[in-house]
Amino acid sequence: MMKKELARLQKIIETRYEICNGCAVCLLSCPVWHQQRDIMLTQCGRTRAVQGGAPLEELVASINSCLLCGACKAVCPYGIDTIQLTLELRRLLVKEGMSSLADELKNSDSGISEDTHMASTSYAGKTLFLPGRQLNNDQSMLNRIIRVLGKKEPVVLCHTFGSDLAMLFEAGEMAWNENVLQPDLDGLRTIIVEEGILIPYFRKALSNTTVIGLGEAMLGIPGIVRALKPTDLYIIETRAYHADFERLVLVYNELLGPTGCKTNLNLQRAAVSTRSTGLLPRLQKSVLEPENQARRILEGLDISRIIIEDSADRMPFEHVSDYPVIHVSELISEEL
Amino acid sequence: MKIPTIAKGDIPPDHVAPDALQGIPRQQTNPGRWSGEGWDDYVKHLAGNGVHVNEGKAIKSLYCTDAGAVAHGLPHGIVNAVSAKEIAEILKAAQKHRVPVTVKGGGLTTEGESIAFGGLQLDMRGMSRVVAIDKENMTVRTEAGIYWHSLAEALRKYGLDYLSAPLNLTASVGGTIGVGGVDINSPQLGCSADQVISMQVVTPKGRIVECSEKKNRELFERVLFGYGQFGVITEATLRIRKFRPITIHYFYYSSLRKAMEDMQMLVRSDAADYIGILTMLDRVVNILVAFDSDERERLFFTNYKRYLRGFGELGFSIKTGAYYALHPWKYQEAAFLLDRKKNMMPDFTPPYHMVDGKIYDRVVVYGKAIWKYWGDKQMVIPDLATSEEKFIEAILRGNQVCKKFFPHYTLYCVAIKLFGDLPRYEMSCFPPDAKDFGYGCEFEPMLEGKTYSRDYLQSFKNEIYDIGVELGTSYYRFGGVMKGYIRRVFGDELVDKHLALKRKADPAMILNPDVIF
Repeated sequence: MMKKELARLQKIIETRYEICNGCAVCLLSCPVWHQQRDIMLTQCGRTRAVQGGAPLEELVASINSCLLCGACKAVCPYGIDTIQLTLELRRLLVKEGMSSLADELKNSDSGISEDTHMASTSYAGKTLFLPGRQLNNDQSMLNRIIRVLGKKEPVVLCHTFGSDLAMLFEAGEMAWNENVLQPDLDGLRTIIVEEGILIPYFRKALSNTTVIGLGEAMLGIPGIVRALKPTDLYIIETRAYHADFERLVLVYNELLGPTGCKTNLNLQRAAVSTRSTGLLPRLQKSVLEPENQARRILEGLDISRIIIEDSADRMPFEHVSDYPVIHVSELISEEL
Repeated sequence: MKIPTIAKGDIPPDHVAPDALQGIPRQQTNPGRWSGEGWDDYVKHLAGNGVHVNEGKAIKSLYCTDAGAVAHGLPHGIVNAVSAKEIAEILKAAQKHRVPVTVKGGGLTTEGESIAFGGLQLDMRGMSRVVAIDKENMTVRTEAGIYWHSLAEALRKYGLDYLSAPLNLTASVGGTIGVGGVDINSPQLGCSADQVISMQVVTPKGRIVECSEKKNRELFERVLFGYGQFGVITEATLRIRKFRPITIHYFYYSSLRKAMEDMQMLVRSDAADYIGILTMLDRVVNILVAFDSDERERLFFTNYKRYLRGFGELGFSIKTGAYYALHPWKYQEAAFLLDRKKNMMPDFTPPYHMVDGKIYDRVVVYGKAIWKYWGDKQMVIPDLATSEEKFIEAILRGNQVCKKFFPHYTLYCVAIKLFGDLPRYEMSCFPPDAKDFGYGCEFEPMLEGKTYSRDYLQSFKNEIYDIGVELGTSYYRFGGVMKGYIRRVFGDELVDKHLALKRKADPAMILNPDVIF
């Protein structure tokens, strides 16, 4: 039975999980490991178990506990796309009828639109912004962000498409190679996403479009970086950062280093996640306590305020500290 | 010895040299698997005391091998450690039911030492939290299953750092101090084990004991460097220091002998805070020196640099370029070096770890590079640990062995300070004739994705270790698959003395069996 399982998985899974040698460098940055100390819930444990021919049913809890923060992918010495691996395994669970995440998403008050296609309008040459779910529910902040992004170039807002797509990916309901995008998006110049998990998908689907996270877009707005102080703690949104780690670790180092501000980067320069956003917290299935992550990030730091890229990070930091928490867009005036 | 002819077909040629196993009877790579007698009663006994043993297929598959991937086993069940009290129950019950218990930390053994060949696998990473940081006395108390890197992260929040630990991100504190622990600052600071002030140990009979140089000293000395034979380390108090970024300089040699001689001069003179040798080919040998302070760096350049016969990078590149221009048939070597320079060298100075010429978190930088370029599905890292006098001859001979077996390999040499004639050093990586300093060299083949048979890799290790027997050295890794060398190197009298101590401490011989005894 074990050999069949392994053979079956090998034909289905594209990610090259077989090159993992169990070095466990990924554990060092894994927030689930830090809180739970259970190897089976981590990428290292999951990958080695797949290599060892573990039955899929014994891996369900592990596959569904991953926060998809991407830190393991960023630090893997062998460049294994651990996020894609976990998403492929979730897709497999759905196909095998074993996924609780997809079922729970369907049964929950997810607010996912029935139609996940973009509105049929032409976006050629434009910059599109796809907010996350939290931001969609905060019209005032959303308007501010649009105005601040607009200081560089006009931005078109598409409300729920991004957050809905992200949920479907996370649940394994959609795969990377399923292209649900209308042809009108082909000429799109730039997509800015708050849900970093979408970045690899859009980059694959739209090869001529620049795809970046909201944090990187914000840091490119004149005045934002200048407004940072050495007593600031800047919380980098993890999924977008890790999705493009080799490039962004240099970008953030160059931009934030001279300001002297602290960040949520660990010694490996991976970003520590509060993981207060995403599917698992939505379904209340997260094995992580966002407040504990926030405390871990704050430990030992002497700061005066907290700057966040992901609006969902506001709550855990406000719950555990008295420091003012402001969104990166609030560093400058929104007036043109 | 007559090697039988192998018929052409799918079986590749047998690379075992005719004289590779000279004097060594052919050994099975794995220890025999424990029969399992008494396992069910043991599990029930533990369950009755609130200890849950995980016997799931998926989790067991995580523990079938170690970093070396030469030996393969499988536990009957796993416990993720949570407390010393629980471990005490585990070991007491193991004595009663005669169930072997194999302890694993980071699992970076290469000879099967942390693999359970049946019995219980005790994973210490469940006990991996920092207990307390004492900034006044500059000590840290930590659970022993913690990775050194995680300890570094916890200390860094307060501008602090550990003293010395292996250049490997995922080694555990307990596992390391159980064998020694060597870094490029070991010429100054000694082994990681020498930083330990006190430990909490669970003995094989299940007693929880706090030990130090002042309290329960005999146990303290046996557990440090003790290969896990005399107890399970559950907590340790270690010396710490202020964190400092360091400045690194490299000096390049085309002669391994000259590089080793100059390294010994630097060590004797305490010329730098960090000193080590890394080779790319034996024509490209690199002495690395690094400094915690600008003052030490200045003194080095004033007092010692002129005695080094190595070159800076530019001078050496010109010299090496000229060599390969005059030896065009060695184009493959030249191509290898160019590839390393282009792809590997930048990984040692990533801009996001460098500020004003100083490297921050060099262990992260080096540790990741080590995995990336030297890590593989199998890892063999035989070593020799010698006195100062025997260092050069041993390593030159080892280098010749490497050349015979592999196209590309690296030698990593360090010196280690000794702190007197301590019982902990008695049967350890320090040879009996080492005074003041021991010298070690790891011989690390680059397997480069190729698959080598276990016989081939074992032959290579045997040939390196035979040098140690002949010259009277020791080894950093002498357990597991290599334990056949213990008596040859240490002699029956010393080994039997330790065996008697082991039998007294562990009557059922259940703790970490087949590692040393």
